[in-house]
Amino acid sequence: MSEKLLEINGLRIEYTSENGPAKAVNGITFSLDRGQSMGLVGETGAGKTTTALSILRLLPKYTAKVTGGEIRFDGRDVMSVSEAEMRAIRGGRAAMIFQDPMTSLDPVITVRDQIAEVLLLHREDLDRANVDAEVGRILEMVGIPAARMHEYPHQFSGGMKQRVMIAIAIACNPELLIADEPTTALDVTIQAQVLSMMRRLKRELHSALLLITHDLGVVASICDIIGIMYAGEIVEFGTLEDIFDPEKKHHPYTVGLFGSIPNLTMDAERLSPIPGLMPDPTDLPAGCSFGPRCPHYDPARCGSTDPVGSAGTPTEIPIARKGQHQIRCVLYADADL
Amino acid sequence: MFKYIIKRILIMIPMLLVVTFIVFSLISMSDVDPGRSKLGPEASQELVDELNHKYGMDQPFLIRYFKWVWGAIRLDFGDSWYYDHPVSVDIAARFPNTIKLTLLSIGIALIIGIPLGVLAAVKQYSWADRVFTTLSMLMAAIPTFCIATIGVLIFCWKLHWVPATGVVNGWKSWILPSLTLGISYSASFLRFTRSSVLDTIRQDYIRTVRSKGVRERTVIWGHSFRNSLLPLITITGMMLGGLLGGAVIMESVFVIPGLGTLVMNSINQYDMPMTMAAITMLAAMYMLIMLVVDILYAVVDPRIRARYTSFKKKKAPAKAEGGAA
Repeated sequence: MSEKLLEINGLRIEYTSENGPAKAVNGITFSLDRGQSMGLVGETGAGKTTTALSILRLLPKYTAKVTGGEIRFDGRDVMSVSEAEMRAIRGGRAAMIFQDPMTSLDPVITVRDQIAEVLLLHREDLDRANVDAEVGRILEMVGIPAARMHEYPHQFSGGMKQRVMIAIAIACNPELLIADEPTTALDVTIQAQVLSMMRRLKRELHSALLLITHDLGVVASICDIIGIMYAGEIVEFGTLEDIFDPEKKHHPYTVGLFGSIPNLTMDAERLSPIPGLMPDPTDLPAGCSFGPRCPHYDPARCGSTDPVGSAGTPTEIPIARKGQHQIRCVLYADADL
Repeated sequence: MFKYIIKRILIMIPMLLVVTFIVFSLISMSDVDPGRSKLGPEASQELVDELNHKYGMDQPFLIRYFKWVWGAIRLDFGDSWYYDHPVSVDIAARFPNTIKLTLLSIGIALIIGIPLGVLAAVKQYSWADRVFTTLSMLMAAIPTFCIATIGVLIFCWKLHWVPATGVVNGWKSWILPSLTLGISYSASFLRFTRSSVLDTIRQDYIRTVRSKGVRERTVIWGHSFRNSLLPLITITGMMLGGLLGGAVIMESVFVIPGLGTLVMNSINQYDMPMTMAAITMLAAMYMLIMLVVDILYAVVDPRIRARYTSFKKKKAPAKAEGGAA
């Protein structure tokens, strides 16, 4: 058992599309210790979900391809294990909570059967006779009366469905819990309930958590370390303190992200959203991918904003490091942080 | 649910009345003189009138219809105008043949079509998928009677494996007709199954099932196929209904005495009691099949089941709480 539960090194993932390969994940590297929780923050299309799916090898078979890098789960290379070993990890040692609870539960099967399915696959202490009691116990853990286990997903509200999803994910005490925007599809009061429940469960189960979100508030309430993702790269990485300290140096994109959150103490007329759009993943710029939207953009140092195809070799953007804090930007050297 | 079934069966009564009324009117609109056509041009007018009186043709249309309905309620469909014996004799003789042919062919179509359809969906874009979809297009494009004739040529005349026609040779006589119809219908089942499974396999909940570490076979049959059943039940019902009345061509090619040919012949012979009885039978069967289809919907999909039982469900939780207290 290694201390590092999850290690991702230079991971690259492409999707096939009509306009050529779409580079969804472009060389991201991070690691997650046992029991640690990490937030992966970024806009829609930054490659967060793709990263998460690749950890469980759940990427769409025909359209997605890992083109580089490696994923290690508890020291083992996820790409090279057999399908049977992968099935033992999925749902057992590493489980995932999906974004949309409305569509993520099988509509024609009872909640009890959906939870029992994962229990019977991974928990050797359970058989058909005593699985009901365990399903009930897990449902109570996520705040659903055990008596409702024989109901179908359509009989539950959105928030309750997400609780069922969480129940499925935690059923086998996974070492790693991947939550892909678990609160995005829920309304605000339910979001708060689900979040506080996840915080409690994480404490009780000692699972490591990889939380994917575009909501900085969610990250602040639950994570130890944070990666800010942009166009398939981690542009800034650090502890909660590193990222949320306005005194510290930050990547211009992180600054932009915080600028798009309303602040009560600031006397601002309006929010300052980041101008422009995320670059097209089939046509990434040769230089810094945030260059086209960056207020500090300098063609001499940041490289061309033209696509790699027309501007030749991509420019390598240096990473400044201090402790755990890392920023991928030409503005900073190691000493500046 | 029980209440719903009773309601559906009761609704069949007015539906059957409408169907029979329409058919009765259509037949009556023809200006054929049944007495004259049976006795021939040489017969005397008295004899013709006497026969028409016996058939009730001298009475007004509505009275004749209500008399027919009154008979039908007591399951008395009258005597055939052509054979002069009760039509129930012919119906009883031919109905089992139709049912046999229909069930056998649909059974074969399902057994071939569904597994191949699921396979084609799971291995989308593979050579197997391509071969199966092309073959099924081909089968759908060739008319059934062509396949039937080719089948008769090869398996009866060249190889002498099976009898060509009739139903007197026991189970052997059913092999070729039901295989021909079954294979030809399996093409549709294959394509429906394929598109239906392809649709469900891309759903979020299938990804959830995979994330639980479920083996692929269970993902496909236990979840994806399970969710694809609804459209499959629909088309199975429609094809069953279609085959019951529409296997006329097969019945003619293989000389199987079934309801389809009976309807056709009785119309040609202007045998009104026979036509009415056969069509009423087919209509009732069709309605029963549709009822079974709707019941199967509820069995397969809890959301539809909830619609049928919603009235009862409101009371159930209160009772449960009372019991707990």
